[in-house]
Amino acid sequence: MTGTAAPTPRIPIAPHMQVYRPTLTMVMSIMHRLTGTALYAGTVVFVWWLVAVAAGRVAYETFLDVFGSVPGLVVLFGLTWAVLHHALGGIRHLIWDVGRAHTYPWREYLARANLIGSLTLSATLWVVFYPW
Amino acid sequence: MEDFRTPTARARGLGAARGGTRDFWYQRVTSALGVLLITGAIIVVIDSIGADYDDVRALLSNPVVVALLLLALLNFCIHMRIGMQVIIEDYVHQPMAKVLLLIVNAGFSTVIGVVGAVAIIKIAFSG
Repeated sequence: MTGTAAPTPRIPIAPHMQVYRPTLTMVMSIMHRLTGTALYAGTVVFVWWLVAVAAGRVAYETFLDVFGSVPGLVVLFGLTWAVLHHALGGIRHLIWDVGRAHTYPWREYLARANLIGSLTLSATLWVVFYPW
Repeated sequence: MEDFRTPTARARGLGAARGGTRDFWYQRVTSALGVLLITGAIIVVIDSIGADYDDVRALLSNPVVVALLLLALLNFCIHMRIGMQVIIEDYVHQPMAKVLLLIVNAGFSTVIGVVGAVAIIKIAFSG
């Protein structure tokens, strides 16, 4: 063998993400990952709540003060939407996993149902259960 | 020398995490169970809205709620460990950074699970 490296062959390169026109299913795929990541961080809020209750009245009041503030409420509403969106998206993935709804138009219906469902459910839960 | 191993045996353990398909399966099982567990957890959280401290403690020391929250916590700590691992494997290719992040991820998921479980158990046994 000689020491000279073979010239890089000019192979066809697969088109990357940015050459595609964004589609609803593509955006929903990204959203599923983003909401999952948000919920990963959101577990800190849930465990904070549990620890606050376990620690005592003062710690619980602190938790309520933090998450009763405007930024706190925004975080809680965001987590509500993220959890519902990710849960509905998970059901969509399970439907795909059993081999259903991969084709047009069902995949589009599911994507829309996922988004509309998560938004209306979050809004409904807050309208009904937030102590206005 | 000839390689007597089957193609499957040679490929095993060569995935991005040097693991097999167990995580793939666990992710689906924890997502199906998760739909039920998160529904229960949301009901518990809604039930605590506006309640005073003693009522929240009473709610969280109900044995059914204790079991539900422990199961949910275990379920989602497994689910989020695998989910974040997939993201790390997709975007981080430098081997040392990848391994470190995978360890941090497993550590975070474990700590969240254990700290949450300790809090739930403490509430459960102190009423």
